[in-house]
Amino acid sequence: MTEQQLISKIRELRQFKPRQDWVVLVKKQIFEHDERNRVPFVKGTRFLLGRFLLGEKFVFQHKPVFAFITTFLVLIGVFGFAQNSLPGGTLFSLKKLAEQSQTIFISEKEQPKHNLELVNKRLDDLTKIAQTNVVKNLAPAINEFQASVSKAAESLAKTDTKKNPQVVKAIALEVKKLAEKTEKIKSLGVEIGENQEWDNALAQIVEREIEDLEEKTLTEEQQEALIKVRSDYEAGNYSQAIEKILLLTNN
Amino acid sequence: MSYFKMKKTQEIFSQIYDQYVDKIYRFIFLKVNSQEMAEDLCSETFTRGWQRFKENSQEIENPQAFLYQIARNLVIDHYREKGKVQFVSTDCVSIKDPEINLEQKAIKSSDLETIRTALKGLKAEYQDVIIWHYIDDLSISEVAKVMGKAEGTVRVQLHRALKALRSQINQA
Repeated sequence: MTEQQLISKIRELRQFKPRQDWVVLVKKQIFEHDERNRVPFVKGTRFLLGRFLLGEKFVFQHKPVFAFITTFLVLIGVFGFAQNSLPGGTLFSLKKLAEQSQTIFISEKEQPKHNLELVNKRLDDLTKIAQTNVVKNLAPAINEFQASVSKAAESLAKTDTKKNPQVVKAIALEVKKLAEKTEKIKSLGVEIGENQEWDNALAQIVEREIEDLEEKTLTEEQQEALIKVRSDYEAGNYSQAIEKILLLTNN
Repeated sequence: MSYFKMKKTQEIFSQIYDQYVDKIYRFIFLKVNSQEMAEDLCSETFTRGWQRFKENSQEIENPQAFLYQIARNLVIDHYREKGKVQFVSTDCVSIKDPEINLEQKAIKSSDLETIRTALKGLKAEYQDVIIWHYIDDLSISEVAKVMGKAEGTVRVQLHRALKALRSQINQA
């Protein structure tokens, strides 16, 4: 047998071919396995993010960065949504967390005002709950209100109004709002209870302001106003007394 | 990988599959004992090929060489894992050729089996060079690339392989 004959015989082995049905089946199986493992949601989001916004290659070369950004945006969304939540609601703890984290960035001087603003917010929450008649949320809302009042009272007690006369005005404005809202909530039939710490804190501020005013030279009109302040103080109407002090010092 | 990119990659690999499935199947079939085993190993070759191709298709410069390499390794693993020795099988795959009558068919089938049996009696590297160069029509340089050897070495191996094959046929 010559070499050419041998090669020719070898080439006859080309007749060995796979079964056509098997060829089709294997191809189908290889790609079907992948199709089954694909997640439609991922496909959709990658399509939107990758193709339309930034370019696929860019997005998927920076997967960790985009994962972080997505998580960050989701958190912002959740926190934003939580701002509308009310005491007793599932997202209210997030709302509180956001408020507490804001406190870190507020100066000590501004703390009493900030705490009073929070008391006002809790009263707003309570009013919404009372108006929508969500009875199961009333108790948590009152508790939250009382807790915020205690915290505000604590920071008021620490405030040196002589050093920060401007704070008194801010406090007085917030106290005035609080008094109005308290009346409104009481008119809805909700009993929010008394807070001795709060009364004591307000009494201290009124006392200090009265002493301060007594040392100053006052006009006849101001002296009359001061008498009314003393009268409110003695009657235990500290909110009204502070309101009058605000008017007196503004004149 | 995005849906569209995956679809495109699938299309490319689908073309590669159509182009090389016959060759890869034949390459394996000539080295193993049965049609079933050849089908299993060929299927595994393309499955592994697809897994690697979709992960990084740009790294694969020569799909043919890439698939032959996988197939070659799978055949080696097959014999190694099973502790099997390559032996000559008498099972035969029917070859469709309507142009010849039964007598001629029997003679031709017998010739094919003789060559096939003789080829299987060679060492793996000789089998590879003969299949690639004479059956699958790979050039010497292509065979050299698949084997990772110099062209001169491949030429020498091819010459020795033919000599060994002739010897095997004469012994039969």
